[in-house]
Amino acid sequence: MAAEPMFSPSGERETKKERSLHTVAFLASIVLTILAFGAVVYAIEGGASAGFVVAFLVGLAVVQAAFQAYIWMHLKDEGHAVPQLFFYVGVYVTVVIVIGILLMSWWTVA
Amino acid sequence: MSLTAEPGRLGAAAPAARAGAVEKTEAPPIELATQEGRNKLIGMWLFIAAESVLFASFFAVYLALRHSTMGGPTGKELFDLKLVFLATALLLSSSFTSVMAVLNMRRLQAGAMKAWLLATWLLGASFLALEAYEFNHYVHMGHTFTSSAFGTAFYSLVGFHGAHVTFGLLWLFALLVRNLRREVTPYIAPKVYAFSLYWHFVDLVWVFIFSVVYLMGKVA
Repeated sequence: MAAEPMFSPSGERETKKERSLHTVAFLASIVLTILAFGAVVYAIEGGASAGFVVAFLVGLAVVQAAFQAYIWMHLKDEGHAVPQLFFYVGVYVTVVIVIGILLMSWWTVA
Repeated sequence: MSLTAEPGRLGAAAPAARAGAVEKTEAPPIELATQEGRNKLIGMWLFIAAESVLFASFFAVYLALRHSTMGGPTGKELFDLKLVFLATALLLSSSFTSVMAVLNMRRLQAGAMKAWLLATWLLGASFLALEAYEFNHYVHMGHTFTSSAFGTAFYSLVGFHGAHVTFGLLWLFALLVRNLRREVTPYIAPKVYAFSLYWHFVDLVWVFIFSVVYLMGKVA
Protein backbone atom coordinates (compact mmCIF):
# COMPACT_ATOMS: atom_id res chain seq x y z
CA MET A 1 0.00 0.00 0.00
CA ALA A 2 1.50 3.31 -1.06
CA ALA A 3 1.71 5.81 1.78
CA GLU A 4 0.00 8.86 0.35
CA PRO A 5 0.27 12.09 2.35
CA MET A 6 -2.71 12.21 4.71
CA PHE A 7 -4.94 15.22 4.98
CA SER A 8 -8.64 15.88 5.30
CA PRO A 9 -10.25 18.56 3.11
CA SER A 10 -12.58 20.86 5.04
CA GLY A 11 -16.19 19.83 4.85
CA GLU A 12 -19.17 22.08 4.17
CA ARG A 13 -19.94 22.71 7.85
CA GLU A 14 -16.35 23.55 8.75
CA THR A 15 -16.04 25.87 5.76
CA LYS A 16 -19.25 27.68 6.65
CA LYS A 17 -18.09 28.19 10.24
CA GLU A 18 -14.65 29.45 9.16
CA ARG A 19 -16.13 31.74 6.53
CA SER A 20 -18.48 33.45 8.97
CA LEU A 21 -15.65 33.78 11.52
CA HIS A 22 -13.40 35.46 8.92
CA THR A 23 -16.21 37.73 7.76
CA VAL A 24 -16.96 38.82 11.32
CA ALA A 25 -13.24 39.43 11.99
CA PHE A 26 -12.99 41.48 8.80
CA LEU A 27 -16.01 43.64 9.64
CA ALA A 28 -14.77 44.05 13.21
CA SER A 29 -11.35 45.23 12.05
CA ILE A 30 -12.98 47.74 9.68
CA VAL A 31 -15.09 49.04 12.60
CA LEU A 32 -11.99 49.29 14.81
CA THR A 33 -10.19 51.22 12.06
CA ILE A 34 -13.08 53.65 11.76
CA LEU A 35 -13.08 54.06 15.58
CA ALA A 36 -9.34 54.83 15.53
CA PHE A 37 -9.61 57.43 12.78
CA GLY A 38 -12.74 58.87 14.40
CA ALA A 39 -10.98 59.28 17.73
CA VAL A 40 -8.18 61.23 16.05
CA VAL A 41 -10.56 63.52 14.17
CA TYR A 42 -12.40 64.10 17.48
CA ALA A 43 -9.09 64.88 19.22
CA ILE A 44 -8.03 67.34 16.51
CA GLU A 45 -11.31 69.19 16.98
CA GLY A 46 -10.42 69.49 20.65
CA GLY A 47 -12.89 67.01 22.12
CA ALA A 48 -10.41 64.66 23.78
CA SER A 49 -6.96 64.85 25.37
CA ALA A 50 -3.99 63.63 23.31
CA GLY A 51 -2.82 61.22 26.03
CA PHE A 52 -6.18 59.49 26.17
CA VAL A 53 -6.41 59.16 22.39
CA VAL A 54 -2.87 57.72 22.16
CA ALA A 55 -3.70 55.07 24.77
CA PHE A 56 -6.99 54.33 22.93
CA LEU A 57 -5.11 53.94 19.61
CA VAL A 58 -2.55 51.55 21.08
CA GLY A 59 -5.37 49.47 22.59
CA LEU A 60 -7.23 49.26 19.26
CA ALA A 61 -4.02 48.37 17.40
CA VAL A 62 -3.31 45.49 19.79
CA VAL A 63 -6.86 44.13 19.32
CA GLN A 64 -6.53 44.36 15.52
CA ALA A 65 -3.13 42.67 15.60
CA ALA A 66 -4.66 39.86 17.67
CA PHE A 67 -7.39 39.40 15.01
CA GLN A 68 -4.71 39.03 12.34
CA ALA A 69 -2.54 36.66 14.35
CA TYR A 70 -5.09 34.42 16.07
CA ILE A 71 -7.84 34.23 13.48
CA TRP A 72 -6.26 34.93 10.09
CA MET A 73 -2.85 33.39 10.75
CA HIS A 74 -4.69 30.52 12.53
CA LEU A 75 -2.54 30.93 15.65
CA LYS A 76 -5.55 29.89 17.80
CA ASP A 77 -5.84 26.54 15.99
CA GLU A 78 -4.49 23.34 17.48
CA GLY A 79 -0.99 22.19 16.55
CA HIS A 80 0.34 25.75 16.73
CA ALA A 81 2.44 25.44 19.91
CA VAL A 82 5.77 26.15 18.19
CA PRO A 83 4.43 29.04 16.06
CA GLN A 84 2.92 30.50 19.25
CA LEU A 85 6.30 30.25 20.97
CA PHE A 86 8.03 32.05 18.07
CA PHE A 87 5.29 34.65 17.97
CA TYR A 88 5.40 35.40 21.69
CA VAL A 89 9.22 35.66 21.69
CA GLY A 90 8.92 38.05 18.74
CA VAL A 91 6.34 40.17 20.57
CA TYR A 92 8.42 40.16 23.77
CA VAL A 93 11.62 41.32 22.04
CA THR A 94 9.60 43.92 20.11
CA VAL A 95 8.20 45.43 23.29
CA VAL A 96 11.65 45.44 24.96
CA ILE A 97 13.25 47.19 21.96
CA VAL A 98 10.57 49.87 21.64
CA ILE A 99 10.42 50.66 25.37
CA GLY A 100 14.22 50.47 25.71
CA ILE A 101 14.99 52.90 22.89
CA LEU A 102 12.20 55.25 24.00
CA LEU A 103 13.58 55.38 27.54
CA MET A 104 17.08 56.07 26.20
CA SER A 105 15.86 58.89 23.97
CA TRP A 106 13.73 60.50 26.69
CA TRP A 107 16.65 60.64 29.09
CA THR A 108 19.27 61.88 26.64
CA VAL A 109 17.43 64.18 24.23
CA ALA A 110 15.26 66.01 26.76
CA MET B 1 10.40 17.14 -3.21
CA SER B 2 8.51 14.02 -4.22
CA LEU B 3 4.95 13.54 -3.15
CA THR B 4 5.26 9.84 -2.57
CA ALA B 5 5.95 9.66 1.10
CA GLU B 6 8.13 7.38 3.16
CA PRO B 7 5.87 5.17 5.28
CA GLY B 8 5.83 6.08 8.94
CA ARG B 9 6.84 9.71 8.45
CA LEU B 10 3.91 10.97 6.45
CA GLY B 11 1.46 8.17 7.07
CA ALA B 12 -0.76 7.65 10.07
CA ALA B 13 1.97 8.86 12.43
CA ALA B 14 1.99 12.33 10.96
CA PRO B 15 -1.14 13.81 12.59
CA ALA B 16 -0.25 12.48 16.00
CA ALA B 17 3.21 14.06 15.72
CA ARG B 18 1.60 17.47 15.81
CA ALA B 19 1.53 18.94 19.28
CA GLY B 20 -1.88 18.89 20.89
CA ALA B 21 -3.38 16.59 18.27
CA VAL B 22 -2.71 13.37 20.13
CA GLU B 23 -6.33 12.58 20.91
CA LYS B 24 -7.65 13.48 17.48
CA THR B 25 -7.73 10.78 14.86
CA GLU B 26 -8.62 13.23 12.08
CA ALA B 27 -5.97 13.99 9.46
CA PRO B 28 -4.44 17.50 9.44
CA PRO B 29 -5.37 20.23 6.92
CA ILE B 30 -3.71 19.88 3.53
CA GLU B 31 -0.85 22.35 4.12
CA LEU B 32 0.40 20.17 7.03
CA ALA B 33 0.10 16.85 5.20
CA THR B 34 3.78 16.47 4.31
CA GLN B 35 6.92 16.78 6.41
CA GLU B 36 8.20 19.33 3.90
CA GLY B 37 5.06 21.42 4.35
CA ARG B 38 5.27 21.33 8.13
CA ASN B 39 8.96 22.30 8.07
CA LYS B 40 8.27 25.12 5.62
CA LEU B 41 5.60 26.64 7.83
CA ILE B 42 7.66 26.35 11.02
CA GLY B 43 10.43 28.13 9.11
CA MET B 44 7.95 30.80 8.07
CA TRP B 45 6.97 31.43 11.70
CA LEU B 46 10.63 31.72 12.72
CA PHE B 47 11.12 34.22 9.89
CA ILE B 48 8.10 36.23 11.10
CA ALA B 49 9.48 36.33 14.66
CA ALA B 50 12.79 37.65 13.30
CA GLU B 51 10.99 40.19 11.09
CA SER B 52 9.03 41.54 14.02
CA VAL B 53 12.33 42.33 15.79
CA LEU B 54 13.53 44.16 12.68
CA PHE B 55 10.33 46.21 12.46
CA ALA B 56 10.48 46.88 16.21
CA SER B 57 13.84 48.59 15.74
CA PHE B 58 12.47 50.80 12.97
CA PHE B 59 9.41 51.68 15.10
CA ALA B 60 11.56 52.53 18.12
CA VAL B 61 13.87 54.74 16.04
CA TYR B 62 10.88 56.48 14.48
CA LEU B 63 9.30 57.17 17.87
CA ALA B 64 12.59 58.56 19.15
CA LEU B 65 13.26 60.83 16.15
CA ARG B 66 9.80 61.89 14.97
CA HIS B 67 10.09 65.43 16.37
CA SER B 68 13.56 66.06 14.87
CA THR B 69 12.26 67.76 11.73
CA MET B 70 15.09 70.34 11.28
CA GLY B 71 12.52 73.05 10.49
CA GLY B 72 10.94 70.95 7.73
CA PRO B 73 7.29 69.91 7.60
CA THR B 74 6.02 67.91 10.59
CA GLY B 75 3.91 64.79 10.46
CA LYS B 76 0.89 66.84 11.49
CA GLU B 77 1.28 69.06 8.43
CA LEU B 78 2.09 66.21 6.03
CA PHE B 79 -0.29 63.36 6.74
CA ASP B 80 -3.62 63.14 4.94
CA LEU B 81 -5.99 60.97 6.98
CA LYS B 82 -8.38 60.25 4.09
CA LEU B 83 -5.56 58.77 2.00
CA VAL B 84 -4.26 56.71 4.92
CA PHE B 85 -7.75 55.42 5.69
CA LEU B 86 -8.20 54.30 2.09
CA ALA B 87 -4.80 52.56 2.13
CA THR B 88 -5.70 50.82 5.40
CA ALA B 89 -9.04 49.63 4.03
CA LEU B 90 -7.31 48.24 0.91
CA LEU B 91 -4.71 46.33 2.89
CA LEU B 92 -7.25 45.00 5.42
CA SER B 93 -9.43 43.78 2.54
CA SER B 94 -6.44 42.06 0.93
CA SER B 95 -5.80 40.26 4.21
CA PHE B 96 -9.42 39.08 4.15
CA THR B 97 -9.20 37.90 0.52
CA SER B 98 -6.00 35.95 1.23
CA VAL B 99 -7.65 34.15 4.17
CA MET B 100 -10.57 33.30 1.87
CA ALA B 101 -8.01 31.85 -0.59
CA VAL B 102 -6.69 29.58 2.17
CA LEU B 103 -10.26 28.58 3.08
CA ASN B 104 -10.89 27.49 -0.51
CA MET B 105 -7.51 25.81 -0.71
CA ARG B 106 -8.50 23.61 2.25
CA ARG B 107 -11.67 22.64 0.35
CA LEU B 108 -9.47 21.78 -2.68
CA GLN B 109 -11.23 24.42 -4.79
CA ALA B 110 -8.32 25.50 -7.00
CA GLY B 111 -10.35 27.94 -9.11
CA ALA B 112 -11.82 29.84 -6.15
CA MET B 113 -8.42 29.88 -4.44
CA LYS B 114 -6.78 31.49 -7.46
CA ALA B 115 -9.59 34.01 -7.85
CA TRP B 116 -9.20 35.14 -4.21
CA LEU B 117 -5.41 35.29 -4.64
CA LEU B 118 -5.85 37.46 -7.72
CA ALA B 119 -8.12 39.79 -5.70
CA THR B 120 -5.40 39.90 -3.03
CA TRP B 121 -2.84 40.89 -5.65
CA LEU B 122 -5.01 43.66 -7.06
CA LEU B 123 -5.76 45.11 -3.61
CA GLY B 124 -2.08 44.98 -2.66
CA ALA B 125 -1.08 46.68 -5.90
CA SER B 126 -3.64 49.45 -5.27
CA PHE B 127 -2.18 49.95 -1.81
CA LEU B 128 1.30 50.24 -3.27
CA ALA B 129 0.15 52.75 -5.90
CA LEU B 130 -1.38 54.91 -3.14
CA GLU B 131 1.85 54.76 -1.16
CA ALA B 132 3.94 55.75 -4.21
CA TYR B 133 1.61 58.71 -4.78
CA GLU B 134 1.89 59.66 -1.10
CA PHE B 135 5.70 59.55 -1.02
CA ASN B 136 5.90 61.57 -4.23
CA HIS B 137 3.58 64.16 -2.68
CA TYR B 138 5.74 64.38 0.48
CA VAL B 139 8.96 64.82 -1.52
CA HIS B 140 7.36 67.80 -3.26
CA MET B 141 6.51 69.23 0.17
CA GLY B 142 10.20 69.06 1.14
CA HIS B 143 10.01 65.88 3.21
CA THR B 144 12.73 63.57 1.87
CA PHE B 145 14.91 60.75 3.13
CA THR B 146 17.82 63.14 3.79
CA SER B 147 15.91 66.28 4.83
CA SER B 148 15.84 65.43 8.55
CA ALA B 149 16.16 62.63 11.11
CA PHE B 150 12.35 62.50 11.03
CA GLY B 151 12.48 61.99 7.25
CA THR B 152 15.03 59.21 7.48
CA ALA B 153 13.14 57.41 10.24
CA PHE B 154 9.80 57.83 8.44
CA TYR B 155 10.97 56.54 5.06
CA SER B 156 12.96 53.72 6.67
CA LEU B 157 9.92 52.43 8.56
CA VAL B 158 7.10 53.05 6.07
CA GLY B 159 9.33 52.40 3.04
CA PHE B 160 10.55 49.14 4.51
CA HIS B 161 6.93 48.06 4.93
CA GLY B 162 6.24 49.15 1.33
CA ALA B 163 9.21 47.04 0.22
CA HIS B 164 7.60 44.09 2.00
CA VAL B 165 4.35 44.68 0.12
CA THR B 166 6.32 44.88 -3.16
CA PHE B 167 8.11 41.63 -2.41
CA GLY B 168 4.79 40.01 -1.45
CA LEU B 169 3.25 41.06 -4.78
CA LEU B 170 6.19 39.58 -6.73
CA TRP B 171 5.92 36.40 -4.66
CA LEU B 172 2.18 36.12 -5.23
CA PHE B 173 2.61 36.80 -8.95
CA ALA B 174 5.14 33.96 -9.23
CA LEU B 175 2.86 31.69 -7.18
CA LEU B 176 -0.15 32.40 -9.42
CA VAL B 177 1.71 32.02 -12.71
CA ARG B 178 3.51 28.84 -11.66
CA ASN B 179 0.34 27.15 -10.40
CA LEU B 180 -2.11 28.51 -12.94
CA ARG B 181 -2.96 25.09 -14.37
CA ARG B 182 -2.39 23.05 -11.23
CA GLU B 183 -4.92 21.55 -8.87
CA VAL B 184 -4.61 21.88 -5.08
CA THR B 185 -2.11 19.26 -3.87
CA PRO B 186 -0.10 18.76 -0.66
CA TYR B 187 2.83 20.11 -2.71
CA ILE B 188 1.13 23.43 -3.59
CA ALA B 189 -0.74 23.99 -0.33
CA PRO B 190 2.19 24.92 1.98
CA LYS B 191 3.39 27.44 -0.63
CA VAL B 192 0.04 29.23 -0.66
CA TYR B 193 -0.26 29.01 3.12
CA ALA B 194 3.28 30.41 3.63
CA PHE B 195 2.38 33.36 1.43
CA SER B 196 -0.82 34.00 3.37
CA LEU B 197 1.10 33.99 6.68
CA TYR B 198 3.55 36.54 5.24
CA TRP B 199 0.75 38.69 3.89
CA HIS B 200 -1.15 38.77 7.21
CA PHE B 201 2.08 39.70 8.97
CA VAL B 202 2.65 42.60 6.57
CA ASP B 203 -0.92 43.74 7.34
CA LEU B 204 -0.29 43.34 11.08
CA VAL B 205 2.71 45.67 10.77
CA TRP B 206 0.58 48.17 8.84
CA VAL B 207 -1.96 48.24 11.70
CA PHE B 208 0.80 49.60 13.92
CA ILE B 209 2.09 51.96 11.21
CA PHE B 210 -1.27 53.64 10.71
CA SER B 211 -1.85 53.84 14.46
CA VAL B 212 1.61 54.92 15.59
CA VAL B 213 2.93 56.90 12.62
CA TYR B 214 -0.12 58.50 11.03
CA LEU B 215 -2.80 58.75 13.73
CA MET B 216 -0.46 59.54 16.64
CA GLY B 217 1.40 61.94 14.35
CA LYS B 218 -1.86 63.86 13.92
CA VAL B 219 -2.59 63.95 17.65
CA ALA B 220 0.72 64.52 19.42
